[in-house]
Amino acid sequence: MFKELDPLLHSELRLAVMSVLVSLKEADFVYLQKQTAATAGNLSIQLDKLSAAGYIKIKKTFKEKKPRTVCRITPEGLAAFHNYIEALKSYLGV
Amino acid sequence: MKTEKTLNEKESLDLIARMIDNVHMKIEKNAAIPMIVFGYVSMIISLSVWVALRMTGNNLYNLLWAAIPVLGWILCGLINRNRVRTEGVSRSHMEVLISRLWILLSVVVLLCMIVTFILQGNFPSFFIIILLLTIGVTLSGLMVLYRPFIICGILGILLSFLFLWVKGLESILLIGAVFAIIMVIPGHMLHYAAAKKYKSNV
Repeated sequence: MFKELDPLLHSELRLAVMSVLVSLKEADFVYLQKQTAATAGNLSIQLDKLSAAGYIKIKKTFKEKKPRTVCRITPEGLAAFHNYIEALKSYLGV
Repeated sequence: MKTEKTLNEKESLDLIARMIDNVHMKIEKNAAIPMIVFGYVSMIISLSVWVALRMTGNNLYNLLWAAIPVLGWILCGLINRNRVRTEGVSRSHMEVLISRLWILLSVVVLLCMIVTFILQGNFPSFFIIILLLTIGVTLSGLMVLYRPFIICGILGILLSFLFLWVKGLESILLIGAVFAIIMVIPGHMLHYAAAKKYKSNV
């Protein structure tokens, strides 16, 4: 039987963000924007959704008087990501 | 990327693989920069100390060695600042581990330098310092699984034992050569390979 795909991760931008964060300790907004080639508005909305689900933690700070948003994946996010990959594998028969 | 574009299963796996690959390539590219900077700075300082000692014979010129960490950190800081502005900030678990390793090694090397000055040369400082640095390069290579760093690092470990026999001004020139082997050459190789891979992936 196929596992159900997490709808929160089954979207291009949110999946891209999670794939970047899974390899890192933390990354800021500019880095995520460069890596995903998303617009600032889109990225901001998707980060809020991932944060509301508890998949990522967002920390807002200031550096040299400029606002800085730093994101890191949570243990729940990591587990969800692993489950998502397992589900994908079962669909593709990998 | 569009906000809510849904992917099929294969596209999802491809996207995950591509993103993780891009992050790793960036980590590799960034790992090369401190090696290249510290390698060149160390070579230039070695050559400067050798020229100064050869021309004057004044041992106080050995204080120039202290310029390696100062110049190295300043240059790395400037390069990093520029990178942060354009590419943003990210820190991988591996980068944190490698940077802690080098902070520890730098402190031990500094202590060795201080002990050398206190004991007035009755301490095999070049041998111990080069051995520590080459172990650092080898471990960094093992952590990022980059073979040229591992091979050049091990070669450097073997070369460091030469400092037990080679003394005087020649040992200073040998230091410059060791830094070229353990940092400059593999650093450029890694930078070139990562940049090439990154370009073809974008």
